[in-house]
Amino acid sequence: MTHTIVSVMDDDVLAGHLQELRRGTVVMAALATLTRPTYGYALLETLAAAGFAVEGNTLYPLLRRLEKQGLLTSEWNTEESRPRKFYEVSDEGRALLDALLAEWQTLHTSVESLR
Amino acid sequence: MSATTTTLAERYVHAVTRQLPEEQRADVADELRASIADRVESLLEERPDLDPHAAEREAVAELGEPTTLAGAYTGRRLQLIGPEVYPAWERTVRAILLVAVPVSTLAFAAVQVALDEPFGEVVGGAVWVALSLVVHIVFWTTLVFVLVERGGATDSVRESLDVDWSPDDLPDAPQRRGSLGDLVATLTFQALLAGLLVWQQVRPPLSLDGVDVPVLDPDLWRSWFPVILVLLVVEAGFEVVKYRTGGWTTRLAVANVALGALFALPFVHLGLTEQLLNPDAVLAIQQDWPGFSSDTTHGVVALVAVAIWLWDSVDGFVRVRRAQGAPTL
Repeated sequence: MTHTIVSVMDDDVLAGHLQELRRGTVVMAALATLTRPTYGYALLETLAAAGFAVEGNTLYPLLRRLEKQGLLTSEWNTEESRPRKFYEVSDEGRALLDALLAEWQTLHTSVESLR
Repeated sequence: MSATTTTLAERYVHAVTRQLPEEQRADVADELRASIADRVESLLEERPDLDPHAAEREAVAELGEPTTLAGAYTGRRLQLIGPEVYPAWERTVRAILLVAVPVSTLAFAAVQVALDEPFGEVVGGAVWVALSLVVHIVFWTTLVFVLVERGGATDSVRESLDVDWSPDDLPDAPQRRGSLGDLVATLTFQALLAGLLVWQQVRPPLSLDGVDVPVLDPDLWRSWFPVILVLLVVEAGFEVVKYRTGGWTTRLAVANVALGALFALPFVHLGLTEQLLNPDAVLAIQQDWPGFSSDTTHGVVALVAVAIWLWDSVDGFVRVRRAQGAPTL
């Protein structure tokens, strides 16, 4: 979509800024994915496939923090090959996701209007 | 997952969870174990050539330093002194070191000289005192700031340490920078002078009847020479202050006159009372140069000291005028 710009820009600079931008959106992406109950590693892979390159050592503590804030609920599933902790958004988490997405839209509109 | 506790994954899980509060430990451990196992499985699927041990090693390596991960779980600060407190720490350590170390070391050396200790022992002792002071000052100051960082300090402590910055803390901006070339040249000259004073004592260039004799009277090490060395340090301090103020000002020129007088005084006094030269050295010189006169040399020393003082004093004021006349950028 931005091929002409990308081609004249230093790849490292672009990658750095994109990563910076995506870092703040990991919570949104996680909350959006966890509308279906998912365990840590599967969430990591889903997010990576969607372009959110988050590390396990960031994501696993993040899930705990969101759970502590009441935004996620968790349950151990022992039916499969190994016991795994499944996380799912709570009503509060859903409300937070809506609020974050609304803010995201506002930011997008604001930036567009500044151009 | 019923592997022995010697597997890498098990060792890693233990290393992380033992730093967590008791009630979280088991739950985080189970989740980490599952996550590592999941990662190993997917690594083996992606790269069938990988053996299970290498895959486990890679999965663990990806999670990184155990203390960092544990810190992410607990929210514990993994730093002694963070960016918020660091500037105040640096300011304080530097201020205390710059004042305490030279003053205490010189005082120690002066007392040792007065007690007639051998020269080598005075130098060795002074170096030891300076090093111990640096270690103690840095350690104890850092300890105080670590407590501040951990929130263990009251507001009044934070205020006295100047941790919380406000615009009032801004120093005055210098109009212009002083000349770095001047500063380096003067400091080098002063260091050379101090070195020369020590050198003529330790490695005497003259000898009388096969015995090395210092040029200047060695007895003066118990009276005037320590004073001269201290004055050289004070002069060096003056040069640094002048550089940081951004060059000559009237106040600095006045201070320069006073400081110059202090520095000239020992030489004038020693010259007029003919105490500066070592009598043995005078004899040694007279063996090669019979016309050499101790009286004349002492007189010249006193005269030159006064001349340098006058010239330097006038030069200070001339430079003030030149600095004021120069356009400020």
